[in-house]
Amino acid sequence: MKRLQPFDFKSSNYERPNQTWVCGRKDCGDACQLGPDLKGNCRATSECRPRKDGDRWFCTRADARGGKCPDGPRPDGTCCRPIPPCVPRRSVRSRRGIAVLLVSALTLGCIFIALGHSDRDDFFNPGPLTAPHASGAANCALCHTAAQISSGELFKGGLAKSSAHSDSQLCLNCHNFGPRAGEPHNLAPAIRVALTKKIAGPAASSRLAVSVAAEIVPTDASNQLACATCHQEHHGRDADLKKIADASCQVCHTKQFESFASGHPGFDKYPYTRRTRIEFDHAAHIGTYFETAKKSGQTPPTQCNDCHTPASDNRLMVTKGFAANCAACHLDSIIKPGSKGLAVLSIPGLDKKSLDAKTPGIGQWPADADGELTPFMRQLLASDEKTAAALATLKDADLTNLASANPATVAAAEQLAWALKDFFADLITTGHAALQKRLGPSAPAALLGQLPADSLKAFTQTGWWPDLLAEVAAHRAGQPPTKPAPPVAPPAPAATSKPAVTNNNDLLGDDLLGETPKPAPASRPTAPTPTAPKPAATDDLLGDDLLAGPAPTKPAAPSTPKVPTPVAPEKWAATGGWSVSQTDFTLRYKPSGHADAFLQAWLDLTAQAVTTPAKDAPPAAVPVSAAARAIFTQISAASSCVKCHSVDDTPTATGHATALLVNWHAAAPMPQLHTFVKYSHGTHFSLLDEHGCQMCHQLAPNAAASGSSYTAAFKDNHDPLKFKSSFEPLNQATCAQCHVERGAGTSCLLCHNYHVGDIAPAKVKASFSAPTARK
Amino acid sequence: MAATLTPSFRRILLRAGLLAVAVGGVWSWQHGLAISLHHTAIFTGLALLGTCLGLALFNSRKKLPFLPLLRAATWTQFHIYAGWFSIFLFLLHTGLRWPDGLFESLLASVFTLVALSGVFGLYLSRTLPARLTHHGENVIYERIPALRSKLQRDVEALVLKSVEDTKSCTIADFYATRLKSYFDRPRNFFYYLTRGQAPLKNILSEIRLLERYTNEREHAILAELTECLQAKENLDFQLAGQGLLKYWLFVHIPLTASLLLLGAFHGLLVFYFAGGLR
Repeated sequence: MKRLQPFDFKSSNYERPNQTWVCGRKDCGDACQLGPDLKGNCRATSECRPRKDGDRWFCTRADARGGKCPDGPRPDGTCCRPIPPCVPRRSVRSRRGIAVLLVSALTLGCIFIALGHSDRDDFFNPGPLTAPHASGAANCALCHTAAQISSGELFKGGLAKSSAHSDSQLCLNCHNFGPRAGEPHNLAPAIRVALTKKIAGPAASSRLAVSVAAEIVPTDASNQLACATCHQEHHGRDADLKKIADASCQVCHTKQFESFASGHPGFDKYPYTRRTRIEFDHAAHIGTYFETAKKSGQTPPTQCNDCHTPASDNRLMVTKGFAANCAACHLDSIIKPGSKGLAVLSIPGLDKKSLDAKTPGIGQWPADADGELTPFMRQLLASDEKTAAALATLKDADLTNLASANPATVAAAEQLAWALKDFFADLITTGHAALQKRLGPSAPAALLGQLPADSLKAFTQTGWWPDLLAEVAAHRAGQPPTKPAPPVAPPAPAATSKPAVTNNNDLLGDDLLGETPKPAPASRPTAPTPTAPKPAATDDLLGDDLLAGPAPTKPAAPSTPKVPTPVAPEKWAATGGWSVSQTDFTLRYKPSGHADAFLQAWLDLTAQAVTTPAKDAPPAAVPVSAAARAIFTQISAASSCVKCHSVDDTPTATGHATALLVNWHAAAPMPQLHTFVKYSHGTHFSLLDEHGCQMCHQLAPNAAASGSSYTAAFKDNHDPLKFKSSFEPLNQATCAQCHVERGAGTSCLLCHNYHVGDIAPAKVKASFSAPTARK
Repeated sequence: MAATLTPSFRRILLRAGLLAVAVGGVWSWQHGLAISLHHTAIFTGLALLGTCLGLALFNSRKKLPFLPLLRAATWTQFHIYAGWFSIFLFLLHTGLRWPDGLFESLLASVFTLVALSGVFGLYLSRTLPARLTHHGENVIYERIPALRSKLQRDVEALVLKSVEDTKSCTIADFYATRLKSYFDRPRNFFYYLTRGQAPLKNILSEIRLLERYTNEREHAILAELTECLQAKENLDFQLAGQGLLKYWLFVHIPLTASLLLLGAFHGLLVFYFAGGLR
């Protein structure tokens, strides 16, 4: 093959491909040696620069260019072979550099055009949002604080305002996770520590990756997790925002394990993590009571779903309620046929004589009153500090005998008497406001509204205190009460010639002693004085007939038509309602059935007053509630509600104490309450074998024997976590039969919630505006 | 067995092993970050941007030959393996899915083009030099146009000489009608890319046909002409091959610049909207 390229020193030019410009005649093989300058200008002049030696000029053309030319330089020393100028062109490298600049400029131009374009957000949007977010997210600033920063602020440290946590606050504009939204599991640190201690233990063969990752979990001094840590948007409309690797759950947990089937913490007592809200001993009912009922001809439940049914969300199994499950056997224990009902208001007995003697006086007081204050009355009166102190002083005192009482007791009794009168006067003049003033603004309407006005008036204006208002007005004005009025002769009954006999059961009546009829005390009621004629056959042991020997036969008295007596109030309220008892000075209430609103409200009100200070509560942050506890104990004993409805100690809003809470309902679905474990009964029904529900819920072998343990947990115990279940805890192996990797799945989030607590649905803009007139 | 491995193969094994270790380490690191609730995309993205910057430094290094910054061959090897590593980082960063957003799709497209052009360039640099060496005379790329001109002048002189010597214009006519256009400019670029030699064979067969109508002196001139044709074919092949080795960079390097700009802006956006590093 013909060789074209010489490489000898004289005929081979040195190539410089890194230069920016090359001679325009290079492609013709006629490039000049000088080449263009750095700016691309042709520097060609002539083929050589003649050299002068003495007085002669010599050619200096290089050998590579042909050597000395035959003509030689001109006489003036210029070369005789001028090079025609060329148009230099760029080298390959230079053209590549220009391409780089052009493409870079094009890229930057595109970026800046996009930044200034109205569809900027669409262009830079990294991906579609999920459907719920896409509908509302019209611009970036809704979810990104960075997008809220103006360009002016951006260069003045404005970017520092943007952080993952500030973005999370924007999430919380719509999503409500409570005050601890950013904290792990939305729980207070103390609770997390307690839970950690509960399941603490050595790791169960965790994977190496999890162990290593656990060491690099991001820790934040603020202990806050940004929403975007787990929920990553812009991955499409159908992206799963809740998707998270199981290993991610484990890296934070002290106890790590391989899988659900291997190493998962035991179920412990699950699902019986607290005592039932309704005290129902399954073992006793199934083993004893239902059998007895069957023998007596009743039809007790024979299977679980006779009493239980899936809730509307198919997750929880709920009870069918009192009417369906319990009423057949337990209704009578509530309405208590034949009972008078519960004493709500009462006038207690007081040693008026002693009080009048030792104090300025307590005014009128029914002499026959010998009862005690009802718990309700105690609660009403205890709202006043002085009276509460008086009640404390009179704790063990006998109010009907104050003759030998010390001055403090006497003063307390006087305080109690006037507080009582003050209350009744207030009640008469202001109505329910008097109750609300004493029970507090949170007193439920069911309590206030159900107190009947007529019964109250009848109770206070029956004549026991005819001058109540005047007396209280005088007492409030600091005036002493009027001394007992002189005996007032009762009005003579129209239908009898004998003076009316007062109902003081005075066997040695006026007739017997032949004295002037003793007038009834001013304080005694006059209204109830019977006006019916005295019956012919009296129990007057020393009557005329007895002393006169055999009595002559008297002519038969003309027959008097029997006047029907009105039904007694207690009888009127036999099936439920209010009644004023004239005999024991009480206003009584009798529930007409289960779930009585008045009793429920009453117990709720008294229960919430029974507080227990928390361990870390500041001094005096929680009022001492010994009196309230006593009242609640009395009320709960009087009513039969808490026989079945358990009472729990629950944290108050301040967190400094716990208060009692009566569980009126059995466990029910609470869609907003997220717990760590989620389970759906409905999806598991098809898996039940011949044992039915007992495939999972097995009565403890000794449940019948230990029934007392079950019920004992409800006696004087307000801690729902101290209990003994009638059922065996769930067997983890039962779940693991199906929940394997290639079966029903073992994902943590299949059975667990991350966010726990009261989680409300996303906030909605629910404001409305007044209608505008249509044009 | 190690004794039977050639030094170059051992070097390849060593580099591939280092690459595998780096890939495994980064994958483990990313996995650990992922399950420990870090935003792995930010870390892999930063690693990818850094790797791309490192790769781009290779071009800068070529412009600074006077600095003692390792040998160019070392840089080339680093560039090749770091390039493979960047493809792995890209796949890790995107999670093996094509981005949904317009801007990110553009960025991913540019990266893909850069990566593909890089792989193509690697293929060329591994295959073409040997072919160029074995094909014929090795010439400097920048000299090819001048050599072609010189060759054309030589051929034209030969043709004129043939007319003077043989008093026949057979060869001159053949040159004017058939060969002049062949020598005028580079020809058959794509044939040479595919290793095809059909154009040369066609012309040579035509020359052989012409021999039937020429005398001995003309045969000698045709033999010289054949050598010139082969030299021209070699020049065209060298031009195509060396041109390809130079011009694939017209895709790779400008797009790399675009990639770096888009990548940096992407990083800014992420830092801006994701609230910094987490």
